[in-house]
Amino acid sequence: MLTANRIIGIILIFFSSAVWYIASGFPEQGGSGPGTAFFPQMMAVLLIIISLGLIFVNPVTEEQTKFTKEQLFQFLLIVITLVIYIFLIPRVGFAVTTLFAAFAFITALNKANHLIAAVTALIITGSVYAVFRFLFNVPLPQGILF
Amino acid sequence: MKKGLKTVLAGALSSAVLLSACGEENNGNEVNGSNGNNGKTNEAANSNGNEEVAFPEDRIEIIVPYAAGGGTDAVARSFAEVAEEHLGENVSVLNREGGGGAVGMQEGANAEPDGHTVTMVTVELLTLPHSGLAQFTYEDFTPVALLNEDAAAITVPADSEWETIDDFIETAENESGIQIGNSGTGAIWHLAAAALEQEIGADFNHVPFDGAAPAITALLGGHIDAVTVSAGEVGAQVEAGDLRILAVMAEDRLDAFPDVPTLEESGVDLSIGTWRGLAVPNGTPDGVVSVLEDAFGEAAQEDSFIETLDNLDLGYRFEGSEGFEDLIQSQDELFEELIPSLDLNN
Amino acid sequence: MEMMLHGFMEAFQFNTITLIILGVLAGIIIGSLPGLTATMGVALFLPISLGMDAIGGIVLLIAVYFGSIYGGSIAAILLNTPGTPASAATALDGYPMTKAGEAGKALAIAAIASGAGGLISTLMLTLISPQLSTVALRFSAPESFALALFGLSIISSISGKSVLKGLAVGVFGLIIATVGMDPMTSYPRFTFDQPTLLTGINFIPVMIGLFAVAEALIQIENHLKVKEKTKSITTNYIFPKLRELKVIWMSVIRSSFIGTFIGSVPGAGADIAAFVAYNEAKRFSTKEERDTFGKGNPKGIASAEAGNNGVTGGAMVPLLTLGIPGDAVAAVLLGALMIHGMRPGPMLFADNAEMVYTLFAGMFIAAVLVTIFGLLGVKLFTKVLYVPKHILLPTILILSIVGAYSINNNFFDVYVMLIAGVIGYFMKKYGFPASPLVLALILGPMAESEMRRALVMSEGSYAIFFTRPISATLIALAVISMIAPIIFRYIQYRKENKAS
Repeated sequence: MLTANRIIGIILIFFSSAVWYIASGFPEQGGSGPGTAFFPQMMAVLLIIISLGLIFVNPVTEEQTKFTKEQLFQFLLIVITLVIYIFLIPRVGFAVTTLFAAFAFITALNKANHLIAAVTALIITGSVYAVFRFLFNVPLPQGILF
Repeated sequence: MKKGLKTVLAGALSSAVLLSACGEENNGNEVNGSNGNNGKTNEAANSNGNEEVAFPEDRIEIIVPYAAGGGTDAVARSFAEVAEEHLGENVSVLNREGGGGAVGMQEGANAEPDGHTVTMVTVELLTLPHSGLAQFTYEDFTPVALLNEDAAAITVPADSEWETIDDFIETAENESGIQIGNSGTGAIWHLAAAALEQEIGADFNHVPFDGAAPAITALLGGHIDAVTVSAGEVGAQVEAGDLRILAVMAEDRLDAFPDVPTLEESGVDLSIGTWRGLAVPNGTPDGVVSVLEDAFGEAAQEDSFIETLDNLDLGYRFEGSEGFEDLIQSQDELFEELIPSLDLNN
Repeated sequence: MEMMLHGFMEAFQFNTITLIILGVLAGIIIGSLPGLTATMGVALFLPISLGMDAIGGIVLLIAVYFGSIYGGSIAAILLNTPGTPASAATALDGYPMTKAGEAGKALAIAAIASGAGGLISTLMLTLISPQLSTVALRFSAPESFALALFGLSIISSISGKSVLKGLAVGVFGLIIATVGMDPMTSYPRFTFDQPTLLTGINFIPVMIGLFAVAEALIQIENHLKVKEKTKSITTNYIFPKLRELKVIWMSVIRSSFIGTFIGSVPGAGADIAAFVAYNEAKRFSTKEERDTFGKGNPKGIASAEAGNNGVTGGAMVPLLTLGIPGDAVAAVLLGALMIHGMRPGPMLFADNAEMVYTLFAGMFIAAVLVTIFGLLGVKLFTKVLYVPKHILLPTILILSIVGAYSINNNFFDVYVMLIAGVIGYFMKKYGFPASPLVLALILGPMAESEMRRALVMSEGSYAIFFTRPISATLIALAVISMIAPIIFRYIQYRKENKAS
């Protein structure tokens, strides 16, 4: 049975093998002691052993978390929105993108009055901007707008 | 009490200055691009009889390739404060750390060559490319002003058997495995020790630490035999009598430690150390460079700046564009030869 | 003693006390925001402090330091989004308490423990800093490696339900920690020619992603699933009873000592101290009680907070007595002191005694203020829980992005945070604990570089780890604390199987 633990175990084994392979190309250290590749390779071996444990130790008693198609769709939608938002910040400017992102998230989470959502988004953006920009003097990214 | 109130006021004022600096940033770079000639003409340019260039038109930004709160950052911030008066524009500091300085310097090299983005370059400008850790070279920059230089100092615990640099060299020539702490493999203090090792034909055991401070700690604890970091970095411990500087790797004795000999006095021709200065991207118009050079030159001679460097135990040395360029070129030759011979390149 | 009195007189001057109050308040805000760490807070206030006189400037920075270390616990307890790495351990028991409707009590305990940690460690700084610094100097590469190993061994006790999953996460973190320039040879490992990867993956954006973003993603999902308004967590402001404080006082004192000691060791900071103190509190508890750790045990909060605040005084030990910064905050403070014309080091007490004692007095006051503001603020802080989810969750996401960006002013960290958030989401779904990853990212580089540095010093001989008493002891402790929880669990497992 392909349980979640088994899938994760297999992914981790692939990951560790890649780590081992890349690390084997590292040059030797000139001085004494273990070299550049020693630590990552040792950890890769350890992770493979643990992954085998994940695959073979009591898979029956493992709780199965269901992950529906609808959930996956929702999750991807949020993540993609975040990626677009982050991508646009340095290009369009922090204030404008954040205003839109906040509005989008608020309306998606609560189908209430659009005006209230807009005002809330404005307040969130304004206060984050003010705190970071003026109180802490952290330069926030500005794109073509601000 | 009155003095107290003043401090609070000064604090409030300086934050107000910071805030106004932020406000101007909002105008962004586009302003420069669109109405290029409308900016005010700089007074410094006039008084020096240079051809008139409309510079600076906007705030100047200094990219610091290291973290806020570090030595390089402190130099940049205290310099920015004095430079503002001489440029007649706000000067702000932007920390872009990463890659041992590579990230910030790369960004500085790629910046618009209009003089509004100045980069705080350090000796890593030369050592990173030769170690294959950076894509830029020093030729991507036009040096404007050198502000600081610190030579490497060979330092041992106060109870060390080595009383003078000659004792040290004698042992080094005969025994292998003297443990020399440095601030990281390929970093300037490692290169200093390695250059000395080559010069006198010794065989050191180089112990890299994550920065100079832990190396000094290990020296104080007696876990290593010597360190080659700057004299300023061990100043407090030397003053307290815990550590002893045997020699400095400079051409002349240091003002702060007039009793400490140079390596050259013992017949070892080696001067190596770190430095910090300001540079603009290559391709910046000559007029702009000379405005900056004049303003920076005046600012660097302000007492308050020199005092800050002194307080930070940093060596003061000013050079203009040409002198800085000479220093960079001669040092680059040294590193070009030294670094590949250390087998750091992979 | 007279000097100390004089110090207090100086510190109680109107302007100085005002600066301490402002500093602590600003610090609490900074600490509670994700991404803004104590180090950043102090660095942010550095330029402002330069415009003041020496005493005012330094005392302000110290106050920000104290405030921000405590501030991290607020968001950790209320929202499971530790504001600083130092409070990741606080979230382990703090958030479960909030979920059980005991947010007020959790916050009050955090405030009391934080203040106590700061007070005790400042007291130790004042009384025995020369002795502490002698011990700290005996720490070299092998001892630091052993300390890191000891820290890593805690993974098995903070793994929650499955030690195996905790170990998997921890070792995965140790691999991620090797990205960047090799600490010994500077060879770029797993960087794929990306200059931003040369200094490695910063653990702060990873932490923001794993805790704040992952939590927000999960909650958004729940919010959408339930459709009707999710029930907001009820909380009532109950001040912990004296009886309850009696239970935690041993943990608080022990943790404060641990924090002070770890703070005085160069290279180890508040994040490590919090986890070690947490682990020791668990170890010293009764068998029955041990199982309640991670499920809302007040001792967990108390020990983590006393531990990370204990570092404040400890970190000042090597700074003031040796002139060497023990951690990143101390490095910024070193710069500040030097710009004001004071040179920390063995001569400081002789040359600037007045200043030093005013600084101590300022630290005592800041520690007390942390408790006062913390207790006064409980009602205000818990208001966050009444903010509707559809406003709170977007705000957390936006704050996370700004926080990750502001660490180095670059977007690479923001993407790292997002990736960590996605991974964290799946980890939560499938029962993999997040804390071992944070611990591994903090301690991995330390463990590797100190081990290899020790071997360079010994020219390849592993005996260096076992012939030095401190190192040998710590390694033995590490092995015990790694294996003990696994054995306990195995015995329990056998018992349960027999019973059924």
